[in-house]
Amino acid sequence: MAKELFQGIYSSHKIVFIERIEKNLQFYLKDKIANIKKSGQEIILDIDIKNIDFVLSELKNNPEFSVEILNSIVFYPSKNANFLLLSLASMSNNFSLILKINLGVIEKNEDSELLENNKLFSDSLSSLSLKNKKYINLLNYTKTENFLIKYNEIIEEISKYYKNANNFKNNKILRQSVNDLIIKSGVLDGLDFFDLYVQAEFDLIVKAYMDLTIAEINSNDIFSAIKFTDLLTIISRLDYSAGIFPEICFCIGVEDVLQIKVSRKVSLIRMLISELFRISNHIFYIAKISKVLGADLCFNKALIEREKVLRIIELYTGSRINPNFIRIGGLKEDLSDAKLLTLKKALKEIMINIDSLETLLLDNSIITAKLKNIGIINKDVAVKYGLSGPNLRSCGIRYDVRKNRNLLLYKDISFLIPVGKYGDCLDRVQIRFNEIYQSIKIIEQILNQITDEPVKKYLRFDGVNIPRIETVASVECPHGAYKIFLELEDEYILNLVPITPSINSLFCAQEILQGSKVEDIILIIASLDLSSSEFFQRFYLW
Amino acid sequence: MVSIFLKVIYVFLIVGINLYVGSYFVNKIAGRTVYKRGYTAIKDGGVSYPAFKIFKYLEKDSKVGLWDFLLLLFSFFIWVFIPFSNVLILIRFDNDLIISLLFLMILFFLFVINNSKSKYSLIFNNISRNVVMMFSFLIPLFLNIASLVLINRTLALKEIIGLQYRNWNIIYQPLGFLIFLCIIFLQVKIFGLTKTDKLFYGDNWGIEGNGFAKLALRIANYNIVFFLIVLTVILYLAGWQNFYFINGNIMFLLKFYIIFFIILLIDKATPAINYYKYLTAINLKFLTPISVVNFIITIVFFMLRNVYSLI
Amino acid sequence: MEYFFTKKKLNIFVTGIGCCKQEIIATVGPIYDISRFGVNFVSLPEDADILVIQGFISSLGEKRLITIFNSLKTPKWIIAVGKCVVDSSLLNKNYKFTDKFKNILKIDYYLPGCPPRPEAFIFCLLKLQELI
Repeated sequence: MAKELFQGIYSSHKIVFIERIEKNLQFYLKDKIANIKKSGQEIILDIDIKNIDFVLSELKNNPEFSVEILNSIVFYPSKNANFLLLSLASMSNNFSLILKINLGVIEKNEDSELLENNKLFSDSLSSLSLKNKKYINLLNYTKTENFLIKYNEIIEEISKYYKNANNFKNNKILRQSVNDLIIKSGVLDGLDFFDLYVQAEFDLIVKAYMDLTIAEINSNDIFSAIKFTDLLTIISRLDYSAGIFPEICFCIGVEDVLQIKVSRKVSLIRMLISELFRISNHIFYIAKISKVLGADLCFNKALIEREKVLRIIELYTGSRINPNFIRIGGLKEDLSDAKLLTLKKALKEIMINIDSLETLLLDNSIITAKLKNIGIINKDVAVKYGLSGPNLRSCGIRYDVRKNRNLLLYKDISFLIPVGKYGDCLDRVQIRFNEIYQSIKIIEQILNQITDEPVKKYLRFDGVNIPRIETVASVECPHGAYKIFLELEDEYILNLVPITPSINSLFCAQEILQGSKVEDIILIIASLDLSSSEFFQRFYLW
Repeated sequence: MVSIFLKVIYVFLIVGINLYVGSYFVNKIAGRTVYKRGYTAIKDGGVSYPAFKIFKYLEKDSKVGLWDFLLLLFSFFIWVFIPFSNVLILIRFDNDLIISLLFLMILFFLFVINNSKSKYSLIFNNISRNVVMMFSFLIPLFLNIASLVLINRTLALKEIIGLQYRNWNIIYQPLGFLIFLCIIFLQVKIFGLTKTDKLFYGDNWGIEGNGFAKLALRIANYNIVFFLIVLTVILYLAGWQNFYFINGNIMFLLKFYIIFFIILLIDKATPAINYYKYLTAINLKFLTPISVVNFIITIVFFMLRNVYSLI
Repeated sequence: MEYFFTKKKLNIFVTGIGCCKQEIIATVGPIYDISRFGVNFVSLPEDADILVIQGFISSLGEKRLITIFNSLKTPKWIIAVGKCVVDSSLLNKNYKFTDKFKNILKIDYYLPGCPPRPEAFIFCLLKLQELI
């Protein structure tokens, strides 16, 4: 099985011209648009709140666009107004866009109490120097009840077109009603960021609700008033299970706007390291799953392999978890031939060992009996909740940002996008194995293509006056499509909004838990590979 | 009177030493089979590990409940009717096989009462189901013992061993022996004797932790497994019968540890079976039908030999 | 000397959300193999001897941390792992965990690093065994 997939060839995806879609948008929506912008492979569409009905109906029903998927709704405050970001995608036309809705300035109630977050924020204001204060978004928003009611109203309007939007409502009432069984946050990574409220009949779950208050970290506007070159040191903590992806995403976004061209070798090395991180994340996933199943041998075997990959990552980047390796327009350092040779040697071993690990884990009737037909996600449900990444592919939909969006240089390399069939837990585990083989295949090709050319290490941005700009960039991280929305002025960051894939898997988990058994809760949630670091942000209001 | 007192001490010593050695090997071999070393913090390779484990339970503050005390008591009571050698039997009784099985059932009941106190185990480790499974394993167990009794025509364990002086019972009852092994293996799985790191919610019910209650539970677990192994050795592998020139007592010990190691290795090579549907499938589709078939075959042979005297 | 037997067999409970957890869990694996020192990971605080505090802690997390700390049985120790707990939080400069909980929690060992290597965590535990 592994060898067949390894040697398979998959034809490259059809190329989509974003310009054409941009023109169509301008033609159909005309004066309803405040502003339209192309950044890289994505489109940012500015609209006013009055036009939301018209724009959404046009986007959904017009066959030129036919946008079926709502990935997430994010709220963020900016300098002059508050904004709502809708991340939308179209499967049939193969494009994605970001709808930026201007909410206007919301009046502040002086009587209403500030939340604890805001208090902390006002503390941190005093510590900043006067020069930086200019770049901070003074808060036009407080989490007052008035505002939340208005927010819920807007979302109800959106939910006429996208039912998934209802999940983003601020609904603490639901939590109070659902409480036969409360499972508090666990120890292991990926199970530690939520409390699960379950309503059950005997052992069948009727309703499940995941409460994320424990992941609301006491931090506010961590990224504003930071120089964007300095941000690279800490941005990998936004997704620490695969730390390179936020870095790459951020750099791609900035390079797109500033029109910096990156040499071929640099993007090859970026691909190489991101594939290494993908392998390490998937192996850790397999380790976690085998721990849930009680297969200690597989758990330990997987950890050995992960350690091998992590050591190569450490050799290349200097850190095991948080790389801090990518720079805008270049890399931290060049990779020498000796370093590449060690990877070449280790790859063969890893390939053989993972293959044997797969036979050990999945050729066992006890394990497959437990995994089969549990936590099934249909194609329709997956599209409805806007899943992405391996979880989407396990349902039988071939969608990958690497192929569909011309990410980096992936179009020059031949590899398969593995696809599942039934969307149950077994498929989700199987797809991770297959993606590891494909990643190894990609790395082997990259190693053959790397040439001897100098690598640009960093660019200086001291005293450069950059006008106020916004961009979006997306990458395929191991959990799904990872997007970052950016606002820059001069050298400083005004806003950084990560739009992450795990939130969709979480909503989907709430649905597929209904009707399954209490004893399968951990298995189902662990099989979706939720990344706990993606829930730190304060941008979700529910 | 003195001799009985001595015998009690002997039996306790044998059981205690084997508990110690058994839990040492659980740590060591269970570690080795999953690429780990087990406990090696002390130079001699962790021989002192079980002692640390036992005393650590007692070191922390804990209350001694009545049921915990009863569990510990009964876990040693099951050895009362088991013959360890030709001389070393505490109480001689004609039908000691049935009595010792009764003690096992009492131990199971105490186990249920003890475990029902934990709030975590009810949800995630399906303890109620596992307990039902423990009792349902008794069906194939009794069927096999019945067919064995038909062959030997006695309920006294000492006589059963004596009758195996020429041929071991495993030759007449290979299926029964296999089923006994399966039951012990599943019992080890249900107790989770070899689990080490517990990173999930329901992983450590009654296994890890402190206090007298958990120590009693742990010792009871070991005692049940040991009891079942000893029963297989006595019933199928001729107990303390001499094997050519090897002394019978040594043979008893050897057979005991061979079965113990085989089960440890199988246990570590397979994933946890706390999936109750799978357990019921094993029981109802594999263990019970085979033991019924075994029983019918033995009855047919019994009739042919004793009623019609054809064989 | 008082807890001679506990010292040889420690149970660990990990709290918080953060990247240090990945490196702590990595010590379970065969390459670092923390279990050879008699150290085990547990999922219930009632069974634990050592509380490991790491990562980012929210306001609800703080409350839960204290209830977890209270449910540990009496001889108990605390290790603070990672920059976010030892120093100021990485996502918020003004939030200092150690200052805030100075009077409530007595931390026995501080383990700096972002995240600290698995070897460092093992070394810290060995040092703590000497302390006990």
